[in-house]
Amino acid sequence: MSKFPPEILSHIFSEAVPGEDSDCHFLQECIKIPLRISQVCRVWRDVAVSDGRLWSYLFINVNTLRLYKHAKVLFDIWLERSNGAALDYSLDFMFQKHHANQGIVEVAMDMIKTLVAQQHRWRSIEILWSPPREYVGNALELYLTNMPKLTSLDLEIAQPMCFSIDFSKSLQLRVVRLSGDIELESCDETLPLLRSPSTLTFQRGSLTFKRACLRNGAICSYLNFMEAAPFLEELHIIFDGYVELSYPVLRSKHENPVLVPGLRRLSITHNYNPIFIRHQHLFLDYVTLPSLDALQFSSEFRDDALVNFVKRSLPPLTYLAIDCVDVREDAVIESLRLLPTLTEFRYLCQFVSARFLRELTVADHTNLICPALETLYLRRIKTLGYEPLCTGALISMLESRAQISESFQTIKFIEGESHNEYDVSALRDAFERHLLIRADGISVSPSAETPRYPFANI
Amino acid sequence: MVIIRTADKEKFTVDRDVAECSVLLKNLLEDVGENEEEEIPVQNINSSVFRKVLEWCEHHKNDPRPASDDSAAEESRRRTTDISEWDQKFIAVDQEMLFEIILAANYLDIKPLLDVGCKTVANMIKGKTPEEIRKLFNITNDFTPEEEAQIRRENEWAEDR
Repeated sequence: MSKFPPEILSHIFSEAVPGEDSDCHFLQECIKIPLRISQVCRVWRDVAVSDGRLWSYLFINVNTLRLYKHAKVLFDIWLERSNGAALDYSLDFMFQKHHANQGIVEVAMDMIKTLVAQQHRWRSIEILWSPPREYVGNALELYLTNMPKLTSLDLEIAQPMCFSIDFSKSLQLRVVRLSGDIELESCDETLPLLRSPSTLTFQRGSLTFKRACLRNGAICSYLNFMEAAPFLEELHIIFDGYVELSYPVLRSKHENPVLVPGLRRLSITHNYNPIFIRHQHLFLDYVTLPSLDALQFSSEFRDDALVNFVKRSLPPLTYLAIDCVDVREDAVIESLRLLPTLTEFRYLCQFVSARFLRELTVADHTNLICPALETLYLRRIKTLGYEPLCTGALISMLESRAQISESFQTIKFIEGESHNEYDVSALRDAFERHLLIRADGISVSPSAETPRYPFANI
Repeated sequence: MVIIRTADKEKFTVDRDVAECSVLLKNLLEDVGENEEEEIPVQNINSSVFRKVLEWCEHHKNDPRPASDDSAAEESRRRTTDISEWDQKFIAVDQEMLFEIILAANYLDIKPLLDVGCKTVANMIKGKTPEEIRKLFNITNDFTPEEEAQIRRENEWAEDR
């Protein structure tokens, strides 16, 4: 063996240490092999200490870790000797109460911060962090923005620690499991979070998000994300600019829409001039969401997008908000017919016709649209069409709805303005009986309740 | 067929595709061309070891050749591939022969055979203390007292109590 050159020794040592797929899940086992190899003789030590691969794998579980005082020393030795190699480190700090004290919690926090500082070397990283509340210090926000070698990331984080992550440089990322207070966002607003479907793929079912906000990615990336996140309950998609399409992938999704059985709240909005955002509605073409309770859709609206989505998903929607410049009322009415559980409808378009109001009027109990409807929001009273017809239709609708449902008490206009062109006195009678008006100039709502908003603030 | 001459002057007539398991021999054969009379010398390997290496090459001559320039793929292959049953029987030799096979595989540039040899030695190391490793491989402890003290500290830090 004395004839072996350093490269053969190095090869042997790298075979001896645990690998990414190893079942070596105890610090003692992890550290024994490289330490022992480095303690055989000077030649072996020189080779071992200078070969970063031997020190690139580490698993620390705080509950099997009895070497509190020395954990950070060992961790630092490993990091130093890893010598620039890609890191496969796991830090499991899910503290059991009897294992925790202020000192080890601080040491653990320090290790995480040290590891975060080495994020450019991360390859396969797991950080689990849940200290007892009594040892929790100030809020700590950590930024992960530069992880070019990352292939796998598993974060499970309890407050007050939170992460802000940008995966745009992690082009080799294949597996992600994120749980806790984690914001997926680009630090640089010009960089999309999910740049394109080819640069970020998630392993199906690998994400444990319950709530997520995605900005400015390709539609395929969003679909891919949804497929990977079976526990998703609430999803916000914000389009900041051009909506990227990938037609070959989308065609396949069209045949097999992504099914997210647990998604209850979906918000699709934009932070940009909607004239330049032309394809968000396509998103609805590729998903089936049978549990959706609340849908907020703020963008250009293709007439059949909502109808087809509703027909396919038959969601038990109670909250629907459509905020768009132009929409065909027939399509909206057709969709409403399929939403018997809807209690709140925010119809924030530019024009509401008398016909639309008549459709909502109770004429025939067997063919009633949205029988559970309690609140209808319109953008402003000016959105109502031809005044004599619309005023009458509105009053008839209110009267008829009030007769069948005591809970239908409110119609609200979102934006205040003057309404001189309407027969305000006729409306006022109806309003006094059935409406709470938030608009200035007609009446003041006796109730100043906060409008229902089912989504979390992002 | 090609003729290969080992360090102890023994000549082996070998199928070209068997010889080409070795990247070194493959490159030499490309230089020699179709001249089958020309002997290829392998100066660092004696006949007993070369015979053993040829046995491995004969068995693996149809295996796909590993890419030589993809270090990531090589790393992955080394990390994930277990030793096959045939290779385990093949490599069940005395320690001296095992080391000679490893050196020959390194010299001849036969990466999969080098992997088998190194994995085998690695398996012998696992679970052993430094002293047990020294004893197994007849290695002298040549640390200075200062280095010994540093090692003791490392062991204290890593002690499980």
